[in-house]
Amino acid sequence: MTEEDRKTKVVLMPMFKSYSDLFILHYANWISDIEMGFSFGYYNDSPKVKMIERLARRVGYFMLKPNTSQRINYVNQTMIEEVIGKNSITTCF
Amino acid sequence: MVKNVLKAYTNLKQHTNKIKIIPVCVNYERLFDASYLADEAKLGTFKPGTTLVSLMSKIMTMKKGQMGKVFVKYGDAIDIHDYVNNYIETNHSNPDSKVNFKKLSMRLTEDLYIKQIQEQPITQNSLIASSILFHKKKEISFKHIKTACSNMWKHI
Repeated sequence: MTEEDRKTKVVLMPMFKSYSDLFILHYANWISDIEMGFSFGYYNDSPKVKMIERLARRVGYFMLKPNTSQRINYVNQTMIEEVIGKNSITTCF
Repeated sequence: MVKNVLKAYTNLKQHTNKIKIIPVCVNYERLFDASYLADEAKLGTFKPGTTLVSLMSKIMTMKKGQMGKVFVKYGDAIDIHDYVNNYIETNHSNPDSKVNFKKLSMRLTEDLYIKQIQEQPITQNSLIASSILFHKKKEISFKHIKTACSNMWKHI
C-alpha cells in the first residue's frame, strides 16, 4: 500500500433501508477485518428504542438532528469534517 | 448527507490526500421491521412504546429461515476530487468560481442512487413484488404470479 493510499479517506454511503443497516454494515466490516469507524445518520431515521440508541452510540453512531431552516448546521458540519479527516473509514447514511 | 460530505471535501482538500465515496447496497429478502416502518410512515413518528424486548420477541418467534438473507454489496469508489473536476468541466463553469453545491450534491445523490440500484440482487421476493405491482387488474391469482415470475426469470 502506498503512502497516498494510506492517506485516502473512505466514506461509505449506504442507502437507508432498515434500522438494522448500521449493525449489518458493522458486522460486514468486522468479518472482513475492516476498521469500523464512526457513522453518521439522521435522528429521524433511527428507531426510538432506548436500548438500540444506546447500542448505536456505543458503536460510534452520531445521530444528527437536521436544521429546520435551510442553513447549514455548523456543529454537525465541523464534526463530519473532523471525523472524515482523522479516520480512514466513515459511514454516512 | 451528500452535501455535508462535499462541504467537508472542500474544507479538507488542503490537508488530506483523497476522499473516496463508496456506494453500499444493503438488501434484505425480508425486512423484519417493515411493520414498524409502515407505522412510522402512517403516524409520522416511530411507534411509541416499542421496546427492545418486543422487537426481539418478534424476531425470535419467527421460524428458522423465515428472516431470509441479507445482501451487502460495495460499489466502485468515486473519487470526489475527480468527480467535482469532471462536473466543472462538463458544465463549462469557471474552476475558480464557486461551485453550485446544491446542483452538485443532487447530481452526486442521483449517481449514488443509480449505482446502488444497479448493485441490487434479484431475489424471489422482488420478482413477486414486481409481478404484483405491474398487474393491471385489482385481483391476481397465484398462477398468474407464478407465470409472470418464470417469464421474468427467463428474461433475466
